[in-house]
Amino acid sequence: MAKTIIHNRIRALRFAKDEMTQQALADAVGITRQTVIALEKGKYYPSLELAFRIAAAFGEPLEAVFQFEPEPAAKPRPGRGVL
Amino acid sequence: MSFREKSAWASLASLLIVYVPYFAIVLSRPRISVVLAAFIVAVVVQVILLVLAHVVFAVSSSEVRTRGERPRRDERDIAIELRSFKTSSLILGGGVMIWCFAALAGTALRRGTNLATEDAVFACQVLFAGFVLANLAYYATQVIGYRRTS
Repeated sequence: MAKTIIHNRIRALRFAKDEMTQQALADAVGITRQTVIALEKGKYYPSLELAFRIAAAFGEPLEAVFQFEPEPAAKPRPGRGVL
Repeated sequence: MSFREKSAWASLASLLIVYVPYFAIVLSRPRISVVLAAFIVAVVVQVILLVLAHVVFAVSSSEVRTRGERPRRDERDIAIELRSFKTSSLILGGGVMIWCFAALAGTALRRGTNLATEDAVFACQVLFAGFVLANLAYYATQVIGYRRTS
């Protein structure tokens, strides 16, 4: 299965929303500030419920905050196809 | 660093500080009174170290100090904890299985010195070492999990 990457705009949206602090966002959605940092760096992918809560905290739809990007599957090597 | 990560670091450090010298003493097969004393001292010292560390972390945490809240535990903490449980339970289970096999095989094959019958104190310590090793793995995996996602 191809590796997936989930990008997010949490940092940009925080600044757009009156420069909301990481702690304020953490308090709004019930997580720790360290988890907000991990999310912004893309080192932790949130559960679906947390993703919805973050989107709701910004008043944005889910897809405006998180973008799903599957990595392209590896191309078969030439000459190694099924005969 | 979150309160939970600090707690994992403190637990890992206290295990190493207390149980490395402990096993160096008890696995050299001293008298039973020395083993018993070492065990009591190890447990008491570890409890004191952990209580002190957690008091310091709580006092230095703005969450606890200024707002009087309990340190928050979120889904990332739970995910890291679950992965740590998986690793430590594998080590504990493997350790117990190896211990049981060694004891049974020793009893079946040789009627002389073996893990289960001849040296119960040593056998207990080997089993206890497996438990401590599983705990070390538990906190080490937590620390790695926190470092990887921060």
